[in-house]
Amino acid sequence: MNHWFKKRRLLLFTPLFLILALVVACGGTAAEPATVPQESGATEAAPAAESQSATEAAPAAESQSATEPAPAPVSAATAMPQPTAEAPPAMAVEAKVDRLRIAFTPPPAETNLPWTGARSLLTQLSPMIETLLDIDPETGAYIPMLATRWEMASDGKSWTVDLREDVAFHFDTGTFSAEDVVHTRSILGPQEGNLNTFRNVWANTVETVDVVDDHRVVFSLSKPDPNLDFFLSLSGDLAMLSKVQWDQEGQEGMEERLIGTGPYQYLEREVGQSIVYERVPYEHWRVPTPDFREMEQVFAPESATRLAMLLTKEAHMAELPRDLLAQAQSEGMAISQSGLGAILTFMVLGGQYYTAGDEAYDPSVPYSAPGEEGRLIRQAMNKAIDRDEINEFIFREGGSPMLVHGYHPSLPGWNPEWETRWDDEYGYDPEAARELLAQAGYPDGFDMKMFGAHTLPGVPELPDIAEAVSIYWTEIGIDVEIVSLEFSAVRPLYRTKQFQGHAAPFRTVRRPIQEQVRIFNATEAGVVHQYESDSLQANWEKLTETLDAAERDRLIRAIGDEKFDNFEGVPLLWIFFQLAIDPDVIAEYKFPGTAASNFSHLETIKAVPQ
Amino acid sequence: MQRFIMVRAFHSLIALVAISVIVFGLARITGNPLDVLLPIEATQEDFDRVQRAWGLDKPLPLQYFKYVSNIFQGNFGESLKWQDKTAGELVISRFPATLQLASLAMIVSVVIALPIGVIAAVKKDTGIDYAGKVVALLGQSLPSFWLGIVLMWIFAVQLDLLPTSGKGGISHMILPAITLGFFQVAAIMRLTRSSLLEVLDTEFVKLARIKGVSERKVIWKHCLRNALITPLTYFGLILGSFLTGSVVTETVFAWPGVGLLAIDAVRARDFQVVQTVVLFFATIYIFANLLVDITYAYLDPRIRYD
Repeated sequence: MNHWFKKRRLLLFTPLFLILALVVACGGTAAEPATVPQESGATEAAPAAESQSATEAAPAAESQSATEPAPAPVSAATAMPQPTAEAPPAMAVEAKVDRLRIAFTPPPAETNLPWTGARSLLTQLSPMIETLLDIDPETGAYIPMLATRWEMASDGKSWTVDLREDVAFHFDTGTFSAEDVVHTRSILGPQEGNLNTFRNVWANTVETVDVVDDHRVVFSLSKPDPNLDFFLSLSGDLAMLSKVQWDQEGQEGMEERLIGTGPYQYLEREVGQSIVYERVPYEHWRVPTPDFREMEQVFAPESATRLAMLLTKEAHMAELPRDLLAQAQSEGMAISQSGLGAILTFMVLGGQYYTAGDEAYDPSVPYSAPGEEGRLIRQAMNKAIDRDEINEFIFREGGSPMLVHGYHPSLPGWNPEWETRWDDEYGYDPEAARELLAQAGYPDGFDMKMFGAHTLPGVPELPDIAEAVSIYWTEIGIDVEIVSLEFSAVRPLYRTKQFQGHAAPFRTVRRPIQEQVRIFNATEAGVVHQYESDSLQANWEKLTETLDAAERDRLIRAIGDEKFDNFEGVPLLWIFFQLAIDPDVIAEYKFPGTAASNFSHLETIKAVPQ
Repeated sequence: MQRFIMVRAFHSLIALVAISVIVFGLARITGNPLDVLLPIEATQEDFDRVQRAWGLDKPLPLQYFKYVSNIFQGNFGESLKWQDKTAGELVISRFPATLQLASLAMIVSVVIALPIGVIAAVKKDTGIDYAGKVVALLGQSLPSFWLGIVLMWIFAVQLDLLPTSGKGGISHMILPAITLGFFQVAAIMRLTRSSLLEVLDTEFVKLARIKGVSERKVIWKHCLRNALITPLTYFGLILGSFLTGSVVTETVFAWPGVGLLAIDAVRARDFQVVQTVVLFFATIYIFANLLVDITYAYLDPRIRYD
């Protein structure tokens, strides 16, 4: 015994150890087991902010998309969709599992409060909430959801929206009405600390939301906006919240459980682990009876863990990087792909601040040299890239060509000439690229830097793209030094125009071209400052003031032509969202990929019958 | 004695203040949280607006002063990622999970390491001893993220014996505990082995053998009891490394403890939570050391007058 006392640290640590052993034996207290019956499993995770999310899309007609014929116009309207004939309710099948478990990466914000995070936060709320307009999963067109019709006034400064009647909020908290629209806008808009993606729209663009009657509201805008339907749709973040809940329970009530109108209602959340929903105990107006009684999003940060969950049937659907999708497929899993190419991948060539008088512009950077010299170099940098190879080896053919950043044949302003000119001007030809460099005065190439280590949600392959592009450029004599910085360190550099001489792989989501150009190309209102010029800025400003569809199309095309002709960057591919699913449990999952919550329409997942 | 305690407590306080300054500074050097949290659509005005609303536009010394004064009121700040929670609430709510995992990992380490250490000592320089050394080498050299995934693949995916991840019953803890504990197996095993070798060479052991006490009793009762002192002392020290070293293991197994919380917070630039996690562990370490110092002083009066 004497030996023991000589080791005095034992006096402290031995009892400590025994206490710990006791804690284990007693099971501790922490979070309750989020485990589930063997077949379920779920996790979740969510993309990350800003970029961590894939979002939106405004297919047919920029935002002028409207699927349906118009009712009597209130005023000359650009888009007058009408309620689609309500499809007869599909009967739920008897699923093999009660609880559908989906393994996602952890979301950037984990909360029931939709204004406390960017769009990707909505994935965890999407089965419970609904917006005014839906998105067709296959065409991307806006279709009715809580709105039955919507219409822009001829001056573009107001939108009239008719609301669906008899839509119940969860937990017997009343029915949806115009007051809820006013309330939701007031919550998502004015507060200074709000982080929701479209806070500016609800706080500044929309001046008031006026109630005409219980089921009609008018959005009055500070400036004409023909794209408001984009923001009102699932691509936006105006998911309807219950005014009754707010009045009765306040924010604390929402923190406890979010009340929406979706086909699933809130059941529970284990912070850091999962969120669980149950289908509403009544016939839902849109999805009368979802196939699965419960749904759980489980958050698992490691992709290998999510794959393991899928293969062991602890999860029935999992978000995986593309290399693991292939492995999942080889193990008998199926792949579900978004209906639309939802993510744009491209290389930003920083420092192209050509607007007259911009002090940030550095003409000594070879590729952003003024005039023909810089243009030839950028063309060479484009012709050095084998996009087919990138699509095949990095994206496993999961991408489709993107000829101009942000432009797609289904969006306004598409110029078919770009397709015919593509091979000549952008097509892979390293020999021609070397000649272009020589012509520009750089026969031996030049040195440059690339930010190439960051990843962004939806495209974990960005570092692979950076590696591939640097190899292509090295082959034509451009010596690329890859700089490893996290995205949060890269972002302030482009935001504050300190990106001269640096390239970076980038991804963003599909959105109306007016907004896309604002973010990437506008001088004052811009964010990324990818390529700026006086002519592009002038066209964009005209676009923001124009409502005439033909004129808008012309302006958008003119902007696209400038971007195409001047090789503003290196457009790569449109990428589809993909998920691995267990074909023994899930028969079908259709989603557009362009909703604010990348993985929308979870409530419509079809089960394999027992 | 009172003076000694006060001096030591003052030193601990200084250490805590220094840590809080370092953590506060480092958390801000790594980037603006708004660059992670705000959407790409956000303009400079949006950054300015949220910075104002969150007080991030104030000078750093002022932010630090507010941070410290809030701590004294028990307020560690609002989490940026989990906005309806405070950083203190989050750490406290996650700590039991980490403690459970660390405790089981410690037991796993001991259960594996002690027998191997004893056998390696008794069978010194034999194949068994060399095999033990290989186990020790593997324990120290295998990265825990790799070991965790391999164990998950074998025992969950291939053999379907254990769950892959998440928190639940004891079965959910086995793989993460082995992953976490395996690293320390090497150290404990080697300590046990060398300590036991020393004891085996002492006179009282020879006497016991001469008196005809069975070899089994000599080793497991008389020798091991004395040899255990060194590894047992070490257990206390490795507890800290189990608590703080659980970051990787908790991430691989989606175990909702403080380690995973820290990783999530770092990814989201949620520096309120990052600061709180670091301060929390620092306080545990400093408090434990303070207790040890006081205990030493209590047991050895000479220390009090140093």
